[in-house]
Amino acid sequence: MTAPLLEVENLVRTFTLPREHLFRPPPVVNALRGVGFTITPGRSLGLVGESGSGKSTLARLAMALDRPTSGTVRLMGHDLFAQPAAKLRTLRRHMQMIFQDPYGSLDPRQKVARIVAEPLEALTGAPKAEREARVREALASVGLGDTALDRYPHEFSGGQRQRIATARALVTRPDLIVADEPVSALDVSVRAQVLNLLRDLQEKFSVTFLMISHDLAVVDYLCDDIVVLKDGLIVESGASAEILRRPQHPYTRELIAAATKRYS
Amino acid sequence: MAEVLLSVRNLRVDLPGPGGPLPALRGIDFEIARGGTLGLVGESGSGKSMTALALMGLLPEGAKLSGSIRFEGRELVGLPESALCDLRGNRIAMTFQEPMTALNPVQPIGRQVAESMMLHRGFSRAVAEDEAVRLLDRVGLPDPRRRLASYPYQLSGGQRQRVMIALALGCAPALLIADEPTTALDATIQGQVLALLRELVEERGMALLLISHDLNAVAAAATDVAVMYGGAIVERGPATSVFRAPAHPYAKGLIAALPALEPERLAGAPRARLQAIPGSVPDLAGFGPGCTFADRCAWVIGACRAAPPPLVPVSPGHSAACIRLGDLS
Ligand SMILES: Nc1ncnc2c1ncn2[C@@H]1O[C@H](COP(=O)(O)OP(=O)(O)OP(=O)(O)O)[C@@H](O)[C@H]1O
Ligand SMILES: Nc1ncnc2c1ncn2[C@@H]1O[C@H](COP(=O)(O)OP(=O)(O)OP(=O)(O)O)[C@@H](O)[C@H]1O
Ligand code: SF4
Ligand SMILES: [Mg+2]
Ligand SMILES: [Mg+2]
Repeated sequence: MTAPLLEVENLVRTFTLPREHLFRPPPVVNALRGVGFTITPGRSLGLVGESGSGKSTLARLAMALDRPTSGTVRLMGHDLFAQPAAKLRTLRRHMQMIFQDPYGSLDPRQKVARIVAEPLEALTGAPKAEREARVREALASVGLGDTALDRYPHEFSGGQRQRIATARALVTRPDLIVADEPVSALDVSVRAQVLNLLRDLQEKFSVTFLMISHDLAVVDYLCDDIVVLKDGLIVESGASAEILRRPQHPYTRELIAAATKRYS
Repeated sequence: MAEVLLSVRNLRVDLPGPGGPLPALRGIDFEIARGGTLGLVGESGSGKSMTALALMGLLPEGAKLSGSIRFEGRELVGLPESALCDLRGNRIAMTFQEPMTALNPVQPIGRQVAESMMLHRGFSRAVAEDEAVRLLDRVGLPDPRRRLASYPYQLSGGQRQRVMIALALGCAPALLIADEPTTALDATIQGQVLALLRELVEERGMALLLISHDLNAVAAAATDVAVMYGGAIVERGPATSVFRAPAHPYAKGLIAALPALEPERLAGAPRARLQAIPGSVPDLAGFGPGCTFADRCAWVIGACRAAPPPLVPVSPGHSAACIRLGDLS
């Protein structure tokens, strides 16, 4: 038995919305209503589910970027919400996140060279030349050339920005990458290239993914296990091959149908 | 023949670059009829959003625009900003690829949608609020009345995308430019949003420029398709004809790269590696004077690099910009 990489236990996250009326209690949204799963090293997990089902909320909690209403997240055995700030910083080095909205997650005032190098700087030791080489390599692997280095995020297309975010996440070759819709803005050919790259990372550098996508074909390509979320609850989970062969929940069947059909 | 609403001729956009102007759009042509839907597909970075921004008069600073954009009989290239501003929102609306660029982060979404309708359609506040709820419901936002007071950051990615679509539709535009309107949406909601767009096209005779890398979405909604590569339209024609028989080498590769769950996989077979078109798009400075696809094309010959290949007909209404079409089929 390998020790788990990420353990999510009974996670609940409730949001309070702005009041509609002065004299009524503010409405609440139950974004997660008790979700749990375990990721072991080398077994990537795919999270699928409809828009608003709680996927990004879960991703933010897994990265300790938000606090749950209740429940725990453990990274390599450490409870992320019970760590002093310094320890949390060290733990965070083991993981990187690719955000759903690349526009909001890339610092508009920094050049791409700086943005991609930033996670490397937190790691001690690597000399400048090696860091630069790693940045170039990461950009090249997502199909962006050296001319990208000196430009700002707003000078790129939507899909190019999404790839810059991916290069940034993989440059340190972390143990865990939480990827929220990392290929949603890419055309099929570039998407194939990025997905192949992510798969190579799994094989060569033993990177494990928590991969969020609304496209089951994408998740299946990279993940050994699949969790299907609906309204903040897990409605189905198991090995990818098994879920594809014998989907139980109607929503899972719908996702499979959507990923199977080709235009004619 | 439906009346032409938008006609784009030889549209060029040059962006300022360190070593001189960079051609982001290299002279593209297309038209859209009232009630027509043109799907614009193509590689990431091929100029789809740039085309949309040019139509909206929202190009990045320092960009040079030339050619012609005729909309409702009026030339838009060279129009002063104040006149363009009148058109935007009233006659032409756009949904952006990244919703946060279009939504005001410090205003509740209900107010944003309602105020846009008050401004563009002259509704009273009460009417506009009811309309906003109705529209948000139609784009599939759950429990819209409870969500009116929410701020954009309090919504999920897909919910924000749908609020932005509601915002654009609220103005009842004659032309809607939808840049990747369904990227963040799962199949069910994607279907719902596309159905709504189709309905508006039919009900109101709205024209739609649907930009998407998702070929399924385009196949479901567009009557015509244009395929872009490297700032040029390399193939265009009726959607059925282009999807069934793509002629240009890039379009052929694009359609072959579509990842899908094959029946074998559903039966338990291991996953095959995905087919990508080898190589990647050079950046704007890297294109030569000839065919933009030359560096990645398996059929390239010397003549391809000499001059941009013109669009030549392959079947009725369907044409492709490749000088070797005869040798490919
Ligand atoms: N800060 C917040 N305040 C209030 N509600 C929120 C907040 N963040 C998320 N929500 C709500 O929680 C629910 C889950 O949102 P989440 O972003 O996790 O969905 P998602 O599964 O990632 O959806 P999508 O596929 O559209 O990105 C949604 O109903 C959303 O509106
Ligand atoms: N402000 C800018 N300055 C310089 N170059 C830019 C700018 N905006 C876009 N570009 C470049 O122009 C080209 C076309 O970009 P555009 O945004 O139109 O691509 P796209 O087809 O919409 O791609 P995607 O599918 O990735 O969104 C890209 O190579 C991009 O890097
Ligand atoms: S013109 Fe030449 S390089 Fe361009 S697509 Fe045709 S064969 Fe390929
Ligand atoms: Mg999300
Ligand atoms: Mg774009």
